[in-house]
This record gives sequence, structure tokens and C-alpha cells, in this order.
Amino acid sequence: MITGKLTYFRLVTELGVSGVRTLLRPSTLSLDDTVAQMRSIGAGAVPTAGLIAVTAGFILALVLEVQLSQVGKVEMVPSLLWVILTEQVVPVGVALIFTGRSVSAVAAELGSMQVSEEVKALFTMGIDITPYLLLPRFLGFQIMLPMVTLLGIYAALFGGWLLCGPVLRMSLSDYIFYALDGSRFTSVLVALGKSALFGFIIATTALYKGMNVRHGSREISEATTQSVVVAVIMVTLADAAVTALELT
Amino acid sequence: MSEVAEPEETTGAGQTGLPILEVADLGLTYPNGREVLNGVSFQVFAEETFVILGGSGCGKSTLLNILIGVLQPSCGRVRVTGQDIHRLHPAELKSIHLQCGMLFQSGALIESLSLLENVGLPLRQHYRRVAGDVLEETARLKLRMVGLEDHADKRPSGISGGMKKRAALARALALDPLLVFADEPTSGLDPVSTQEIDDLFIRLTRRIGAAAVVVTHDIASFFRIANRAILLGGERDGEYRGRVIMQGSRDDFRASSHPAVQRFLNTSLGAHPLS
Repeated sequence: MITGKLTYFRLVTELGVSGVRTLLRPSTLSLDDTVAQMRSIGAGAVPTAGLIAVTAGFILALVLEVQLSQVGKVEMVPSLLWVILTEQVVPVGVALIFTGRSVSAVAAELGSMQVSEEVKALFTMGIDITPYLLLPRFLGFQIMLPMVTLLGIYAALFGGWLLCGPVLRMSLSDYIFYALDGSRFTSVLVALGKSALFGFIIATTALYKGMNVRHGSREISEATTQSVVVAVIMVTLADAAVTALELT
Repeated sequence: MSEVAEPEETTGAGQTGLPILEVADLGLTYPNGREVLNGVSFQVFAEETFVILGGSGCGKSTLLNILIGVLQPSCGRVRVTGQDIHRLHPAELKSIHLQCGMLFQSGALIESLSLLENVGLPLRQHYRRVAGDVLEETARLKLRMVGLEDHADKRPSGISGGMKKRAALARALALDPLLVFADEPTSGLDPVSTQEIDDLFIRLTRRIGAAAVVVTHDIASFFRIANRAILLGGERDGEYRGRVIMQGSRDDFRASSHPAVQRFLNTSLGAHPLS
């Protein structure tokens, strides 16, 4: 892990082993570091994710209202918003926000630590790299992405009401009633499951690309770019696969 | 003193008992067939400062990376306190690392931590059951030893290169190691700071009774700190590339008539005459 190429399989294995060890002996994980990473990776993304979710909800509601008003089914706007936002738009959208904001930051930070020999220094101090450096960042993604996704769902639905309220003259209670009418609560579980999967994908991509930087700032910038591109592609493909599985 | 084929060991300071570090017939060949190190052998004893000399690109830092277990050699062995570090289980290697300190060329301080946190990091990680304030006071003491107690809360990016080296030295000595490795500890420093770091390095390693292995191409530093040294051959040394050209004390190096030694010393010394 220090000088040789770190394979993706080895990274995932080490995270798994380290995770199990942490469950058995929680003291091996620095709670302070993990909370700091959760704050940096997740909490910092809340304003951006919230704003984009509200806007996405508003825009989608506008499109649906225009289309459904032509067939006299505007009362379906809230329930369609619920399904589309909860299961599709918000989980993917928040994962892409995390990718743009935090994947690049984590990959660049780890790459920089490799180049400046900080990782090597930790190794020579007898400090296990995985629980000290990688696991807190992994947990930062894995815990915070579902949480921010949940917040994003409420924010997006609120954005939908910002249109439905004044345009369709729908009260908030009517909006909630129509949104939940005929909707499945499992949509939220699907959203959380998807975001957990996306969290795993983008966290491991960031760690893999960052830890494989060896020499110079050029490699750091390449790793940063590649981590974002790979994470975006993988999240999109995973979303397509999960949606296809869910609907078939 | 000896030259080339049979490096003979001279009696240096502290050269008694079993060696703390024993390097035997070490070699490294890259997958592309390039031979970096060949037949490197030496021993380091308690409380002595052993210097690895050589020009740029001769494999000094590569050798150091092998000595600290970061790189695997192609052949030969490295024993620290009698244990072959490249045959150890990671947990056993970790226990060896606890007996070693490492001072990196760049300092390699963790940027996200203050100087106090950097020095306290190995303490916190390995003495989890000791009260936090005791560990913090120990870390402050180490910072005081290198004259940085007033900068404890600063981040590495906010201090000078010389201060970074001193903070890194404090961190390397945090666990009172038996053996301290240093990679170009004075590179990039002005002559005054270089001498300060050299003096500090010797004083502190002596205080804790540690042996030191220092990689450098700075001849002035070599003459200040070394008990014994090896000179590694570089690209310009033809058949000696990656091999030990000479092993001996400072006086042996001064007295050597080997052309490669003379060339290295005379080229590197510049304004510092051998006498």
C-alpha cells in the first residue's frame, strides 16, 4: 500500500477487515477523525445539496404541471414528484454533488499525502494506514451520503410544493396527502439503499485513486480528475442497474 | 577502512556488542532489469551515527526505504535488533517500527495537524491507555527539546523549512527509539540552519542512546556527525554503481586515495577543505 500499486480488490478487502476489527474493538477507530470527516465530506455538502434539491423539485413540478394540466391530471403532480424525486433524482443528484465536491477533495488530499511522504511517515511510525487514514473517510461517505439524501428528498419535495402551492393553489397538507396517496414508503428505503451503494462506489474510488498517487503534482491532478470521472460513470451505471432490477 | 570489494570495519564510537542494524549483501533490481543496489553490507551499533554517502541518484534513499521496510529488496537481508524486517508479519514489523524513528527529507509532517499533534501522534496511537494530558505533556517536552514549544499550535505550512525539520526530529524521537533514520536531514537549509540541525540531531540521539543512520550528500554534515560511513557508487562511478565504494570512519575517508572517494569529497566539499 505504501509504494506498490494498491489494487481495488485489496483496498476493499482492507476496508472490510478494518471495519470488522473496528466493530470488535471500537477504540481502534478515531472517533474525532471520523466525525471530522463526516463534517467535511457530508455536512459541508448540505447547503449545496439542499439548494439543488429544492430547485430540482421546483423545476420537475413545473414540467409535470405543464404536461399533466393538458390531460387534466394535475393532482398527480405530488405523487409523481414523490416517486421520481425519491427513487431517482435525489439519490443520484446528491451522489453527484458528493462526487464533485468531496471525491475530488479526498483523492487530492490522499495524493498529496503520498507525494509529501506523510503516508510513508505514518507507516514508519507503526500506525495502520487503513483505520487511521482510510476508514474515517470511507465512513464519512458511507454514513453521510444516505443522511444528506434523506434531507435532499424533503428539500426537493418542498421545492415541488413551492410550485404546487401558488400555481395549483394546493395547501401543504393537500400536497402531502397527494404525494403520499398511492405512493410507497419503500421508495425511501430504495433511495437509502441506492445512496449507500453510491457512497461505497464513490468512497472507494476516491481512496483508490488518491492512494495510488506516487510522484508529483501532475499525478495528483490526474488522480483527482480520474476519480471524479470514474465515480460519475460508476454511479450512473449502478443507478441504471439498480433501477432495472427494481422495475423488472 | 577498506575500499571496494571487502569493506573493512573500523572501530568507531559505540561499536560494541550486537549490531542494532545489520545489512547483509543487499541488492535491488527493478523489473526492467536496472540494478540499483548490489551487495550492500554494513552494521550499525548502539549510539553510533552511521552515514550513507553518495551522489544524487546513487540509490541512497532507495536503500533507506529498504531499511525501513517500505521497499522489498531483490536479495540480501536487513536485520533490526536481530529480526529480518522483510520476513516479518505486519504486526511484527509494526513492533520494529516502534523502536525506530524516521526523519524524512521533507519533514513529512501531517498538514492537517498542529506541530504538537504531529509530535503527539505516535504517542496517542501507541499509548491509548495513557491519559491524554500525560501524552500531551510528553509531546510538549519533545517540542521543547527542539526549541519549538512556542510554536506548538502552528500548522506545518506556517513554519520555515528548518523548523519543519526540527519538528520532524521531535516526532522521530517521540517514542525514544533505539534507531533513528534520517533522509537528507539538512537538505534545503542554509549553512547556519544545517549546523543547528546537525548539532541538535547528534545531541538528542545521544541523549536517548539511539543509533542513527543518516543519508546525505552533504560532506560538511558528514564530517560533523558521522562515526562511520559508506560511500555508494553512482552513475559516474562505472562498475561501482549501486555498490559500496568505501566503508570507514571520517579519518579513513580523509585518508583515502581511492579516486571515486577523492572525486566525491573534492567535488562535494567546495569551500570545506578536508583538513
